[in-house]
Amino acid sequence: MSQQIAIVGSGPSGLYVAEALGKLLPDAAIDVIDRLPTPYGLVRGGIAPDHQSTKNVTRQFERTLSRPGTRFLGNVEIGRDLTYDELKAAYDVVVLSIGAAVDRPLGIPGDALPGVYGSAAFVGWYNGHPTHADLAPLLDGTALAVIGNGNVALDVVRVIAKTQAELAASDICVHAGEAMAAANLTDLYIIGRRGPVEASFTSKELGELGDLERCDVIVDPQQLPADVGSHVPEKEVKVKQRNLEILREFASRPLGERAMRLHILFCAAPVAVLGEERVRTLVLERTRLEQGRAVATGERFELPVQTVVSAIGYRTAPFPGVPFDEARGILANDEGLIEPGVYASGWCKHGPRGVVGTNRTDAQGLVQRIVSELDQTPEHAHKFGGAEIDRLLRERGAVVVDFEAWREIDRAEVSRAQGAKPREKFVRVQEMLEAAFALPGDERH
Amino acid sequence: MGHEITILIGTMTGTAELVSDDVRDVLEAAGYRVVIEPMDDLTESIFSRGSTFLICTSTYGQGDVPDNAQAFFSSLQDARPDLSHVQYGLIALGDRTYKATYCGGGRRFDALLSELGATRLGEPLMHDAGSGTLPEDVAVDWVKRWADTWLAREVEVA
Repeated sequence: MSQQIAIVGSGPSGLYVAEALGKLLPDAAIDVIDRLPTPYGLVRGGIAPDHQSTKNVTRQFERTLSRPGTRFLGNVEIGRDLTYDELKAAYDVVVLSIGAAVDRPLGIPGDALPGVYGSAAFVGWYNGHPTHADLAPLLDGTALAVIGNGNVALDVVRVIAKTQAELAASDICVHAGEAMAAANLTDLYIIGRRGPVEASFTSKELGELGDLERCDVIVDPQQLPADVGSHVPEKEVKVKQRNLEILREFASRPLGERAMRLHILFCAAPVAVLGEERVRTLVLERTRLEQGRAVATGERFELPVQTVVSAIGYRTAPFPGVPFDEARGILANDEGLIEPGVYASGWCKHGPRGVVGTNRTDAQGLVQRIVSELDQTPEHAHKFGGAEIDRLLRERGAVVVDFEAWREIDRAEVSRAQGAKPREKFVRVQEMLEAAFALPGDERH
Repeated sequence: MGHEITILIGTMTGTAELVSDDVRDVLEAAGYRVVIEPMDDLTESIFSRGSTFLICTSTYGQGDVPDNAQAFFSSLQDARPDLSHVQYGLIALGDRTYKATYCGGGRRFDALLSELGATRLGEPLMHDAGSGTLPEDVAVDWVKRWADTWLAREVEVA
């Protein structure tokens, strides 16, 4: 029998692992399991809806999932449809690539007030993730603050600031597009504890803020240092210099008369969110930098805002049966090894960092290790793999979305999109299943 | 036996590899022998294996070569081998929203290989991720013409 491998999670990390395993072990049977009926993880639910070219990476993932021997088992949740022990019993190798889907809390007074959202929830809402599609964030105020200095923070303000025309060729979900169009926001803030050099923006994303049709960008030139400083690793110097150039150019612009203003505030640490029924004020403390570290100054100031989105990182959701590293918010692992035969890959292994392609290099390294450890398994000892899992899923009446069924969902989303939109996502699992197993309407019951 | 072409891949997300897979299929159908080499562990010695190369690379960050190509690129910069026996075609993947650094990874390879004496065959293919076309589709069309124009004659002579 061939090697039987399960990968849990069909985001970039899991699918790069599947790709690399498929290349090194052409005879292996690889099952890619996802709790959603739709594959691709953050490429579908995280990458901004107006960054369609970044989503083109799904073409490679399609090839990976179409490889003979590789299957997609969507709408299968470990803990609901199968147990972790059943996975281990059925497969020679189990790779967990479940990402980091939980927002790190702000951890300040008031952070649970209505009007405060984590970026996983907020981004999941406009990107149609079934878990967050019903978030209905409060956008009825005039000011919104995004806390965090990474690309996710930039995505959130950019998507909010764009006009409907600017989003016409995006795949922002219709419910979110309408809610944003109905909002009357005039002031957006991006807030970072540290300075512009410490921000982990990439230059392209930062530069895009300067091209918004209805939004002026406001940067205090006094917050921009003359140079990147000596604490920046050499590899990052160029991008930091470019970011400073972009910010200087923003700072040099005369104040415009656009309907919205985006204020980029550095060296401001959130201290509290104030309000009774909902967010009314964000309290911040000025920091100063010492070799790139933020040091509190005791000087506080307030921003009147009605919505706060925190984009300060993510934690992995604990996985039943797997030891959890509470401090780091990841699955406990040793260079990817969770226990013999079980591995972690991607954000659940090392925390949320890097771009889509970073996962490819990581996956290749992990797969080399998996293959060398798998080589020590004698051939006769291979397990039953997918056949056993299929039997369990059938017994339990699970509705499994395979790759062909996903393609039905995909086609249905593309065909119902209006205008220049590339697709109109289904945002509920039930809708996805109806599209996956489309029957003529009168035969559905 | 047909002309041998070695495709060297620089990639972050795997797109350049996908493009190379499709390019290989077209070239093999046309009678060429094709070897694909991701740049990950390459050194200058790769250029002693033949004379015709296709560089297929994306761009990362500020117009840089992708991570898997960095060590190879620096080793060429340092060792400065004589590549006057090398001819190459170039498929550069980029995104025009990056403006000045568009297709920078491919441009860097182009400049370096030329500096080291190699000869580029024809104009490079530069693909814009935001163009609405898929790089593999464009590359397949491009490489047919490229091979017909620059390699067919040699095959006839050989």
